[in-house]
Amino acid sequence: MVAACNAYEGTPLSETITNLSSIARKPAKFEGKTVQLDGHYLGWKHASCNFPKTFSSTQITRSDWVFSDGKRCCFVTGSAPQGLDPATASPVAVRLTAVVKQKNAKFYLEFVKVVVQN
Amino acid sequence: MKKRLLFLAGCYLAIWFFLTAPSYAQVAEWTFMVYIDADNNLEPFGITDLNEMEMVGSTADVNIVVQMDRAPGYDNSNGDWRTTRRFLVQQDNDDNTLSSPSLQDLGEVNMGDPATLTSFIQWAEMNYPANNYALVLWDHGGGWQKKKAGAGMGKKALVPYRDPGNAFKSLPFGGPSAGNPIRLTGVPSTKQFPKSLQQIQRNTTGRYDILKNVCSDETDGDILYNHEVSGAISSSGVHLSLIGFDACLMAMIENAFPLRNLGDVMVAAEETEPAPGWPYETILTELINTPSMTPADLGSTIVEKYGLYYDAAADPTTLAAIDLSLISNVAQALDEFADAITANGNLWDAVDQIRQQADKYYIPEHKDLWHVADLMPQISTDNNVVTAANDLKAAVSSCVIDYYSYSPDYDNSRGLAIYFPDATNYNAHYGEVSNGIDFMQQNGWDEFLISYFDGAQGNGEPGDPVIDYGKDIYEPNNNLALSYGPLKNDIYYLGYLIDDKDVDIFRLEIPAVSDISIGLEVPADFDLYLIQPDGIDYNVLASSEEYGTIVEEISGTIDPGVYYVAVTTYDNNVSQSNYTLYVNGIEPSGEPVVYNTALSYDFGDPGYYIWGTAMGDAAACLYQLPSVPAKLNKVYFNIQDLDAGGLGGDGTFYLFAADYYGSLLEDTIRQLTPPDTGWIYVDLSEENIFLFGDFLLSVMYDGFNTPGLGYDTTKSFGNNLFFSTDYEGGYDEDPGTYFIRAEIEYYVSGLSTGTPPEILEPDRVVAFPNPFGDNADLKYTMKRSGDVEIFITDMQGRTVTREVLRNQPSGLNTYRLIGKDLSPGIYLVQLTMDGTVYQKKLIHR
Repeated sequence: MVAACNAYEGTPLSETITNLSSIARKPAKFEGKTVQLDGHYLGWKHASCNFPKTFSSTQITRSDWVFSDGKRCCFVTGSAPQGLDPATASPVAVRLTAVVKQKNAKFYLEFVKVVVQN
Repeated sequence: MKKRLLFLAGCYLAIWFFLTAPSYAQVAEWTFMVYIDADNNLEPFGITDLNEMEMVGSTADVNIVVQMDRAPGYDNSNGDWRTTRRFLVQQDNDDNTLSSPSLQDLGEVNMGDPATLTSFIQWAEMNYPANNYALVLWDHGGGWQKKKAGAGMGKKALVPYRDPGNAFKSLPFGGPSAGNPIRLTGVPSTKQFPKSLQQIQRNTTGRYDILKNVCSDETDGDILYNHEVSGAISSSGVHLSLIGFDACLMAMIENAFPLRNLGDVMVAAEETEPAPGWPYETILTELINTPSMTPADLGSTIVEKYGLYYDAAADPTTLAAIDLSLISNVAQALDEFADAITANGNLWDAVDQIRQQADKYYIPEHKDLWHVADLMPQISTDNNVVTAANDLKAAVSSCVIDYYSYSPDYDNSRGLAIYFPDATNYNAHYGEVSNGIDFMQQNGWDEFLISYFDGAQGNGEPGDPVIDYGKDIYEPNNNLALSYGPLKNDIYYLGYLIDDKDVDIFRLEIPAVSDISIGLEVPADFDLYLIQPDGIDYNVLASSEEYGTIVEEISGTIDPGVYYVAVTTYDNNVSQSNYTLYVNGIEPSGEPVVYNTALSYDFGDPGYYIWGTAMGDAAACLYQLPSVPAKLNKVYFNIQDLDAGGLGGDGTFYLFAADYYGSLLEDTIRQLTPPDTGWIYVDLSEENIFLFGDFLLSVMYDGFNTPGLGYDTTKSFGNNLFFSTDYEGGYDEDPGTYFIRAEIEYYVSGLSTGTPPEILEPDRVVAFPNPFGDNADLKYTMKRSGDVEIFITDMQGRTVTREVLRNQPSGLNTYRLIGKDLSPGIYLVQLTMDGTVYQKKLIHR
């Protein structure tokens, strides 16, 4: 017998789908939470980025890379997506899963995973 | 008047000397050079660090000299200059404003160019002589990865492959003349080239493109690679007392080993560095206060001050000072450690545990080397392995002068990392010795990794690297030197792009003016380029970059010459699928073509076959030529002494050719005196040896001194490595890179000697793969629509299948032969179309 239980199968979505502006408005609400964001991987090139004030100057290491959701940008630390070139990458559409963290009253994202979007 | 001119000239010289020469006439104790590549998003931190240096400033004993390149868009402070300037750092008390006068403004300079680094070192030595020189490379640092896309675009000269035998010179024709340009109807490329196509510009001397890197210049799209750093320092002629990397991830044995003769101490981090980098104020204050400190003292001071700074900040990081004079001892101990594990043969699960447990970093394939050795005795009781592990730990401990780590994750980190991936994440180019990293050339860690991958099967690890070259037998045809070819009419070349950084290059020789068509059948958005080197650079003559289509095509009239066809993609998501490349319309020439395979060998070229004989083991490369007799003129191959035990006196080398099925062509057998290592040339041009179609060139060895063939030292002639004792089907195969090069002369039309054999136009029918396992695709080209009969028999004449395919469309068609119901052996395929019978032999494994 095949049980009709599709509605209960699968892993429940543990990430909060949001955007950087929402995090920037109420960073405390998101701190420590895993979030999912759609946007672009910019690598180390972010001269034209619009960083929210609560995200600015939160580059933790020299290897941190930049994510843009189209309106805002922020640094992502902890690890790097395999196969994407931070030095010379053109923007790559990605779905980013990350944990919101805080340092010096400013927020950044800690890498969990990236899925390159078609 | 003359005296006045001399006086004025003397005044100018005096002013110039005053402005540019050091303020301190004496030889200083230290000249501390910092190469700040802030032409990227780290620009604000570059400004901060230079300000930190100014809090100390130069003294009579210590020159602090800086070359700094800035970027547009990241920091507009301090005048927002965006060029490259040189400074002798002067003391001030303002930690926000730069006050040191610029001694030179070099304009925009490519800091990723090794010549720029060499120039800076030489300038500093000439103007600020000292008893000790420290060089700090300040910027991003990277890990083992493919060469950065776009690196060197338009900046570097293309160097044609010329070793050995000046391959280009042997070609009978040159490029198109200025007055007789190429005429093609392909769409000229107007947009930026794909990243993968850019990289071939700089990567044309056979080097592979995974190198450790530092100093990313965003404006110039360039970066310094491992061999470029060592090359730049070597070219400067300046011995460095200390080489520092104020950059992430550079404390690796692969990075330290090439610097062993260029400096005394290396300072670098296994982990990423916090964005502010080194605390220059405290480091330089200590140096100014004690200018007599030794290189080791300075290394320890940097580590100590860095630790104090980041302990307070609670930032997880590492730093170590490494004695470069002892790095060879570490490499030797590592080899002995790997050899002991390999000799045991039953420790691959333990190796796997160690790989998973060892301290790792931002790039998780980087593992702490001391910790790797430390874990082994906890798992294995093999005395040889335990002794080797302890020796390796001791070697690392002696080599690391001082280290710092802050984080529970780095409790077992001792300052020196190594690339230690699992099979899934292994970069298949790591072990290629032609990548310019002499650690791999002189040590056996890459071979150990391969053994581990094979040995760890059943432990959740795949047995082979993730890159499946079986899908693309032409790989790694990633640059002009390694291009596959020459392409022939109506052959269907099945290729495979690993990702959007992969580029497949095929060589195209046009003997006479031709109306050619180059087609590419693709699963999605691939692109096709026709390119031609001009000795300095390369030009894109035509391209087809249709978006999302499944056929890309370039067609038109082309003049005689040597060209290259490049296949690539912008889109990483559409790679990892097979594509089909074909060319037609190449007109023959009445002149003989000298085909020098030095331009087309590699990774099996395109197959690689080894078969056992009574005489010993052999390696062979398959060559595919048009179906006309080809005169074998010269053969050359490279021998390496893998076990360093010498080659002479033990065995004999044999050179011979065989047909596609491994049948020996007896008149080609040559017995060769056991050679020294290096290139072995065999001149057969006076012996009128003719070969036909597909054939194999083989080098065989019947001794036990394990010489290696070619540059791939993971493969040897050792009887245990090559020879498969379950050989039954006429050959065995082993992936690897073998270098048996041949200079072969043939006439594209007409024959110079002998009687032409019957030609069945086999090129209109292609079988792939062949030999095959699960299935084989017969690809055939119909000039017009019609019926096709396929008749397959085994070698005893028994019918396997006979079927008529009705109303097949014109153009390329495919028939799939399923192998699972077939016994291993040779099968004869007869394909009848357009009133002609075409035959193919297929080998089923």
